[in-house]
Amino acid sequence: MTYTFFELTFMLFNSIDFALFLPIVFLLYWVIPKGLIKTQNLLLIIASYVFYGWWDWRFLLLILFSTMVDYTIGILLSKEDNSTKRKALLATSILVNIGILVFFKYSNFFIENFISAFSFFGQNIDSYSLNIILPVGISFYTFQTLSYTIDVYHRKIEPTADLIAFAAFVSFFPQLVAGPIERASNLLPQFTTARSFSSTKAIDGLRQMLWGFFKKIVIADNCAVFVTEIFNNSQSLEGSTLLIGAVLFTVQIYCDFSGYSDIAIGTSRLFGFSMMQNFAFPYFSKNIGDFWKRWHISLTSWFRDYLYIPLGGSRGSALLKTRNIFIIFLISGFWHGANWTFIVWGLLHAFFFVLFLLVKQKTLFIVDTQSRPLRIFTGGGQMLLTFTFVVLTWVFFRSKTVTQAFEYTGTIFSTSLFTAAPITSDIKFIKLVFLIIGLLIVEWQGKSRKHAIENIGSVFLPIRWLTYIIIILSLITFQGSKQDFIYFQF
Amino acid sequence: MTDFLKKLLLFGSISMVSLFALDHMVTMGLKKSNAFVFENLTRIHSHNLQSDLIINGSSKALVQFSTQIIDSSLGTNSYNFGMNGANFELQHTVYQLYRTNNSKPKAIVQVVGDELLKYNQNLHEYKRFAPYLDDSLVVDLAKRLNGFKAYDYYIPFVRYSGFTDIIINGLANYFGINLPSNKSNKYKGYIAYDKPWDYSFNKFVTTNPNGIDVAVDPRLISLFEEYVSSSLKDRIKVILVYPPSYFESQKFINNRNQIIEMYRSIANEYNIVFIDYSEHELCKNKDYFYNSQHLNKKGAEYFSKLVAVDLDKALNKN
Repeated sequence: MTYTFFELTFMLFNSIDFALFLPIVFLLYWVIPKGLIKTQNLLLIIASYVFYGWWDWRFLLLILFSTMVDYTIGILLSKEDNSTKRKALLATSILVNIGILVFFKYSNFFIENFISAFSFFGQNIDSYSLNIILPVGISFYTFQTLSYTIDVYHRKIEPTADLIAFAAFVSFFPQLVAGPIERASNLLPQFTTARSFSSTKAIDGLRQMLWGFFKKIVIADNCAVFVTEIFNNSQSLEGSTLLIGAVLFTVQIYCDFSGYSDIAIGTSRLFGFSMMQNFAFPYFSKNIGDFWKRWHISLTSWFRDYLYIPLGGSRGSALLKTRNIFIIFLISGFWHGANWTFIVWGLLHAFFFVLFLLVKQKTLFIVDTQSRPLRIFTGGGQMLLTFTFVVLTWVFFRSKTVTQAFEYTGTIFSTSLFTAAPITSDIKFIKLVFLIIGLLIVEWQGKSRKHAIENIGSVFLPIRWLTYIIIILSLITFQGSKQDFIYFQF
Repeated sequence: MTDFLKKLLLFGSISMVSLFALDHMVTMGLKKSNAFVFENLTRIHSHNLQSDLIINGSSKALVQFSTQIIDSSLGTNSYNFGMNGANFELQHTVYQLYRTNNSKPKAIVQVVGDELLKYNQNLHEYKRFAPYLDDSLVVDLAKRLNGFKAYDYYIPFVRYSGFTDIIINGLANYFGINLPSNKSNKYKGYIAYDKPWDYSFNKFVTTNPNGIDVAVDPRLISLFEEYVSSSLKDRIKVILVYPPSYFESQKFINNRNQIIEMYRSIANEYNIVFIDYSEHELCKNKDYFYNSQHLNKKGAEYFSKLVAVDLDKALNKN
């Protein structure tokens, strides 16, 4: 008998489990009288632990441990003036959080590469790897708690004595497993002040969620079918098909991750919270620097604030600046996963980022002196160039090995790029192209907003509601085969 | 908050009405559809199929039993209910639907095969049943197997989620637009595939060099016997036919002999005819097959003439 209502796997945003969970938590949350902040926070902790425990309750202990460590260190830092002891406390937090991350995420990578290195010198060590389950969202919540301790250490924020508020901040379910990686300075104070229900905010939250679902269910999940097929058979396919595969993955990863972020941010708004924007229409960037200001903003700014600036940032010689950029992108690549493909992906971005900095001044000069039509043309060209570069780097991100990625890009740049791709006559592909064009139009017109359909809020009500219904119907009609969110694996 | 909930309720109601309307249009349209997967159920529910001879089976029936040849040879009115990937559980439900909506046939040719009584937890091509979730026989089958989700039965339109082509087909039919995808390419349930040997057998051999064991489900054996017995009680003749398969593939079903023996013993027990073509010479001619399990057009036409002669004898027995 397989007739089940719930699936005890991860509680995905696009699941029936979450569709029931969210309204229940929402109603219970707002039934609690306004002044009872602790009770509301407690409810959010319970809801967040249920949300996470739906996947595997054992890893709740890890979140609890991380919470307790950083809460305690925060308190101790506030009482400590001795700089050596303060440094020791900070080091403890970093060691614990990074230690957890390294153990769960990178142990096997280091073991395997250690063995490979020895075998290179003729020393054979028995292959051994640990059977470790990667806790979902570990890279996100460890970075969030770390930012708290670092900010407390630098006396940028006051540590909280409210354990319930802090635990709710660490485990807040909308952003627990895939971000945005919130800063304590933004999110934590919201847990300690009274939240009042705002109809406007909640409706816009629902609107943002709706667009997030569209991006994930309609675009990303439909792209995934083609992307999987193409990347799994890349050795036997022609350059034209591989290029289409790379472009589709570019669309998929954006819609998957920014879709998740839209749902997360929208959900948090239902509970009266404001979270940072995580994506700002990155594929409309005119250069790689611009791209990194718009892509996964919460992580990029985390690295900027807690790694790049402490390393010296853009101060110092050109060599130091270049070194810092390479370090940031190397770590950013490694953050995504224990695979050389991510490291190469990060290094490629570092290389082009440095290249961009070198030509930056000259480019700006050219653009500023052109007439408007020429400026639009040049801007379009810059956008296309940036997009092309991003597409090619995603090949490394998506490939199973660096070798596969090089072979993949090698085939793209071969003469087979000019052969007809059989995929273009597939009716499902043609349908997907139209959907992507629709997505681009909506995103383009909303690119100055915090999310693409924010401005629909000011449209005449019947048209507004009709638009929502059309999006809902398209979610059902064009639904792709259900896929996990890509960033859950990080 | 109250204002928000009121707005949400109003919007939810309007959305639900839209879903109901769309669900109704698509369902009504699909119930008239002649598209490949819907044609059989459309004809069954139109109450005018009234066939004398029913051919029941999986794809082995669908592509191998030409109703045109059988009709002209036997002077009867036959219909082929063969369905891709259908095990007996699914075939039985379709047959029950036929019986509920049409008069009883005079005879059933039940095409048996190695995997007929194998348990399959998935409802193969479940989308074909989507317009019929108001039918208790379909619901009973669908709830036993994987395919539809629980909410598909309660929330309108979501049962069609992701099936864009089906939704378009349903809507077009509802508004009287006959799309090319709605045109039937079968003749009374039969379809011929005019294609050469496709070498998929080589891949099967590489994957399964030691062959496979087919697990026969005891529950399906009981269901099968009950079906034979109740048909006989209703004075419907039942003939079991084990169709040809390419001879080299036969050794890769390790328990094939036991399966054939099982059908033979059921035939003996109920005193019905069992015709076994597994040893027939056509099994050795690759030109007749497009893969190891299915005859191509040439093979199917040759085989249909052959089976028509044997069916004639079997039907006139007693």
